[in-house]
Amino acid sequence: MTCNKIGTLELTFLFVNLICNKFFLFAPEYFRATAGSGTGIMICLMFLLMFAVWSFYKRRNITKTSFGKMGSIFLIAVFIFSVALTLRQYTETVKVISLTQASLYFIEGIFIIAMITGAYSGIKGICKAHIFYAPLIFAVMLILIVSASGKLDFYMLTPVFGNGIQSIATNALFLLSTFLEFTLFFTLKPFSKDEKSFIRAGNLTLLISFAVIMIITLCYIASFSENASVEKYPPVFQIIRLINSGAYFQRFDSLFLIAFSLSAYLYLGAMLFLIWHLFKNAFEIEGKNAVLMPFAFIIISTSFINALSDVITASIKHVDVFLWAIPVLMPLLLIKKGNKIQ
Amino acid sequence: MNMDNILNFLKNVFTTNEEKFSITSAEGMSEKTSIKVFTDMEENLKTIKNYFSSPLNSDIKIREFMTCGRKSFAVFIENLVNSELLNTHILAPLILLKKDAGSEDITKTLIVHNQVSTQTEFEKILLSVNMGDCALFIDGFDKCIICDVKFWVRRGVEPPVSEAVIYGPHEGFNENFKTNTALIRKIVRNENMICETVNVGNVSKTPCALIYMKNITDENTVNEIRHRLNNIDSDYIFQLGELEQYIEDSNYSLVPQFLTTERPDKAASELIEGKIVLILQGSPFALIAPVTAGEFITTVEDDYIRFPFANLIKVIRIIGIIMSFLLSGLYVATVNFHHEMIPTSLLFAIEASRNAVPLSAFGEILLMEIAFDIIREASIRVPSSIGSTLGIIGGLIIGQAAVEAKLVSPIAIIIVAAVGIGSFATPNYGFNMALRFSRYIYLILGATAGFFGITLGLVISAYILSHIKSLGVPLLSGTGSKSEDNFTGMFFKAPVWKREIRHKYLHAKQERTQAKISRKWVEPK
Repeated sequence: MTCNKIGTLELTFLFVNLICNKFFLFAPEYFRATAGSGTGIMICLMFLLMFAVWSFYKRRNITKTSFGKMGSIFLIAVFIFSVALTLRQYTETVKVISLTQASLYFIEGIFIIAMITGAYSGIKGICKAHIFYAPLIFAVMLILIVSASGKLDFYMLTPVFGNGIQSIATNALFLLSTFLEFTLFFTLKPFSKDEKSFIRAGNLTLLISFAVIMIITLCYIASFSENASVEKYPPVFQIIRLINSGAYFQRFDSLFLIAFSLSAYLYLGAMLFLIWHLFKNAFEIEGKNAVLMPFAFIIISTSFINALSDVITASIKHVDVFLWAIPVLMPLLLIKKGNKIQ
Repeated sequence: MNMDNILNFLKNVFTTNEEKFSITSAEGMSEKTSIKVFTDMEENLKTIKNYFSSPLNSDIKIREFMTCGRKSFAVFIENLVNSELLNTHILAPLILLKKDAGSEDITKTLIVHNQVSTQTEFEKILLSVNMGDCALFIDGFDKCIICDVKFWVRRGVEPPVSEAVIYGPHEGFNENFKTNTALIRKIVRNENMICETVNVGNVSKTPCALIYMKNITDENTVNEIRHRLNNIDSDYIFQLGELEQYIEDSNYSLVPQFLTTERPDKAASELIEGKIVLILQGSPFALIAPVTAGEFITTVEDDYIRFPFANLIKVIRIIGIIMSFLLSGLYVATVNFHHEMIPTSLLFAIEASRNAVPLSAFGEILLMEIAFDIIREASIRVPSSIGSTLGIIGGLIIGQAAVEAKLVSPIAIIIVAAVGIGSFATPNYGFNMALRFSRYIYLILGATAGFFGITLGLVISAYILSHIKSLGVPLLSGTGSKSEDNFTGMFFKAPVWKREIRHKYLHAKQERTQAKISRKWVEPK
């Protein structure tokens, strides 16, 4: 009576959350550090590059086995490492902004519950959860950021070329690693209703992500000068802390926590499912969720490594230098030679 | 004696009485099926007396008489039959008949009653008698004549208790199966409305009406529910609540997968939409399926009032519903983990009010929630005459006395009262129960990890809800892309003249409910 196909909006919100999620963490700060006040130009350039990549791939016939076993294992390893790092970042962020008395294990345990439940609920459950909460998350975040607009100093966005054209151009390419998760978009093509819906979802994903990333990053740059934001709080949280109003509600930091944790839960569940999906397709496993738990354990174990904070810092500095190649080049492995949809 | 009767006779001779009359199990039923009516009246009488344990069973009446010169008897259950009808239309003509006649002549020309049939198997005869029919056995006939003379004691048609409306009819279902089907048919008035009767329960054989529109409802859905009803292997099913649990998709779900209504107009409008309605003898409700989540927050009155008001009320209802399961958890989370939200002066006021209270915020809210649920439960059970007294006592104890005794803070009273009011805004009782249950879960999550825990509950709820189905239709149908179904149609009402298309998840045979331009008079002449 019902089909397992995913609609355009479901697919769009799923990937908008996967891409923009890191901007609720420390990505805006990192962007500013690379391009200074020229971040806006850099984001535009990044999106032009990404659109070019997407336009190149979007009409290609992508089959579930095109990655090849080796390609899939490489991608799975990258994603597992990436999700483990993100999980650790989430945990530390929640500890800093809200549950200061709770242990890291307790906080991470809650994230793990959400991650495993999400992955077990399958693509339909993940998409339905995204269609409910993703618009809410972005609406809350944007409303809060706009509410703080009175505190923003837009002069901080000048000079528009920031650290220089060369820096902007180089970093725009390197920071394509922001779209790492977008690589997985291609693996969901079989779930899409039709080719048209798939392409529309891809276009919408990139457009909405562009808008969200641009607003968040520029508002952050306009809020704090580089030297002022030394606290270990996520940039969006710092912006929201500027708001102070109301007779019944004074500050809205906790609303950030709601939106942030919703986004994180959805991200973790979706990523674990997609990693498992990638593995299942590569090795043509027919069974249902038997191999899901091992992946969950690998991610959890990795994220529990004590020195991971240093790894996070190191990875931001060094790993992104080559990670950009994944969204740009990896889909090449997906394409069957000479197979282009007319 | 024909050959079948001889074989039956021999079979009965070699069967022990214990085997012959065991009726409590499914096997017993198949044993009874094999017994057919004898041509010998004495044998039939003996069999009937054995089955009904007569004369031990005092309300089973066996009236012996002579008709057309043959020994005969009628068997029926006292107070389940219309005695006047039985006497004047069935027994009187038969007793007065002197000349010989065949069973065909008797049913076609003699018995002046509108519903007469013949049966040869004892299982069906027993079922009919148990349902309030009268069975006539005449010596020499290998058939039994069944006359429908049911007269079940029942309530009249009264206003619905849990679905009262201001605009709209004030008729509600009652416990009588036939009255309920008639109430629906009175509204639908269309020959395409099919009312199939399926008996559920191996022993109880409770009649269940499967009602649908032949020209609208998806055949696969009808076949599916018919298949489920025909494949319940249980001895007794008396109420729709029990039946619902036998035929639902997700047995461990908190959220109901069938819509219950006690309003015939609601059932009729859902039928026209392309859904299926189930009515069970003895239940003053109807079950409706397939349904989606949005329908649990819809009342029939939303269709009767103008759409802006319907939508406004619906938004208010949604706020009430969200309050009913989230507010207490949010309060505990705010007090325990997120003080910074509350302005300092207000926070001091809250803390001052809680200063002398020995319990934590979680403890006092939990205590109050449990107390509120006890009062609610008690007020349902007590006689209506003292229900209001109980309310006053409960209100006083919970409200004034508890605050004055410093057991709870005034803010906790306000929170629990708001939650209670919110829960009364939920139109569906089954859905309300689900919200009541989840309220405790959110309370614990809020006390454990603040908003961080509550959001975990929200995400997991969405995952769970996405897997619940009502007759194969996901409960969250219509919440996806516009191409799948209309999101606004699920939660909000369009003007009545704009409701042109049936929901796609119903796979209705007729997609349109009305013409694109239904108000022809607005077209220029």
